[in-house]
Amino acid sequence: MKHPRFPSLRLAVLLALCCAAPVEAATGDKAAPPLTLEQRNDASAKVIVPLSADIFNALDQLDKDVNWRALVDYTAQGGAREKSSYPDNALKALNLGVRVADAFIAIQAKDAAALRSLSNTLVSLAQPLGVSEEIVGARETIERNARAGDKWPTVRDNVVALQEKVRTELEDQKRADEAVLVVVGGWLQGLHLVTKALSGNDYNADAATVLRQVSLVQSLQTQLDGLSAETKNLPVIQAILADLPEIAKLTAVGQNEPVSKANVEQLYKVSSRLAAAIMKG
Amino acid sequence: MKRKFLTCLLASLALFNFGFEPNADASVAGARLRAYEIAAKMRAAGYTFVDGSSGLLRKGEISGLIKASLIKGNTYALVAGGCEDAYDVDVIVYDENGNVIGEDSDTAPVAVVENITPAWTGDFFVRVRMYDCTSNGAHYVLLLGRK
Repeated sequence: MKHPRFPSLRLAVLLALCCAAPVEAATGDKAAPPLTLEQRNDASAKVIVPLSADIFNALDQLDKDVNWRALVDYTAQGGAREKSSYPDNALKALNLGVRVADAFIAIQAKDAAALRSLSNTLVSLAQPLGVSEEIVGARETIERNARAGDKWPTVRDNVVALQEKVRTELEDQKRADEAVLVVVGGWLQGLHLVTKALSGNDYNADAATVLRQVSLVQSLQTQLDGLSAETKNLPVIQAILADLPEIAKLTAVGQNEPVSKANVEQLYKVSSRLAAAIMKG
Repeated sequence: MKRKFLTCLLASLALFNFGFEPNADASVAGARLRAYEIAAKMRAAGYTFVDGSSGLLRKGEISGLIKASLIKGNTYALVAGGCEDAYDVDVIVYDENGNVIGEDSDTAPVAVVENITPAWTGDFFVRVRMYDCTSNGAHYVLLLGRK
């Protein structure tokens, strides 16, 4: 015969145990086990997008001899450095990301004049997005350190901090679309300039390993898919969305394998087309 | 009688836990401050830090997965700071294959894993573990540094 109190006891124990358990409880042992494939494929994982500065810095660390001066000149073609007039905030945000990437190139080339010109453009682009105060505040420090001539690592820190401040301020202001587009613009211009640096006779297999992507492109695509309908329907966003699958395919190589010379050339073609569309507006 | 008491005790515990929502008094600002204190010291070694993630964890809880695309050639560091309610925060870093490549499991409210030099460009994963904190849970802020 069943004891009448047992079911309620079992239920109470079960409830106590289930409700006390966190989403994922640590075991008493601190040594962490490896991640399972299922865990690694978790679509809800928060993604940290690399800064364009990271990829430029990596090229330097890998002893790739990059002509940063030539890239500074390249980014100034057609008056791109000064252009700040765009019809909507989405294009302003994309161009803000692009110009920040250009600023990192100016830092790599130790070009204070180019950096000053870019900071003026950044302020103009940021004003309608409500983040110009952050840039105006940082501009003086950046220019002072750039003029010093021997503080370029500090200037780089200053611009990284500024980029983060702009992104978080946009998020705080509930300008989610613009926050995504600043990141996407910066990442695309980073891809554009690195593939430019590695194109033709400048191809270097070791340096081309920095272009490998696993899930980043998919993550950016997801973020762009989540834009408001009004933003997402803009021709430039549609163009980026249309090209992302090809970029993903061209950068999908094995661990420690370089992106091939042919794929670097094609990536340059695709990314320069997108960069031109962004800058033209 | 003893069994009845036990039933009531466990049922009370269950009800208490049903209503439990982590609501730490200390703030993300406190966690950020702790993390950036360590980051400021690491600037001398050439690291530049940015916010990676933040959140609230209960005692013993592990954060969701944080995925970072790290680039070969750079050197990275991760700093996790817990707020005033955190006693023991850990950071665990995994490579693309899920293997643990770095871990700080010291008993401290701040955890640091530095000198991560990716052997290849790709996805790396990070988790923050709130090993010990007050019963209300505690906030953490994770910073990603590179040089």
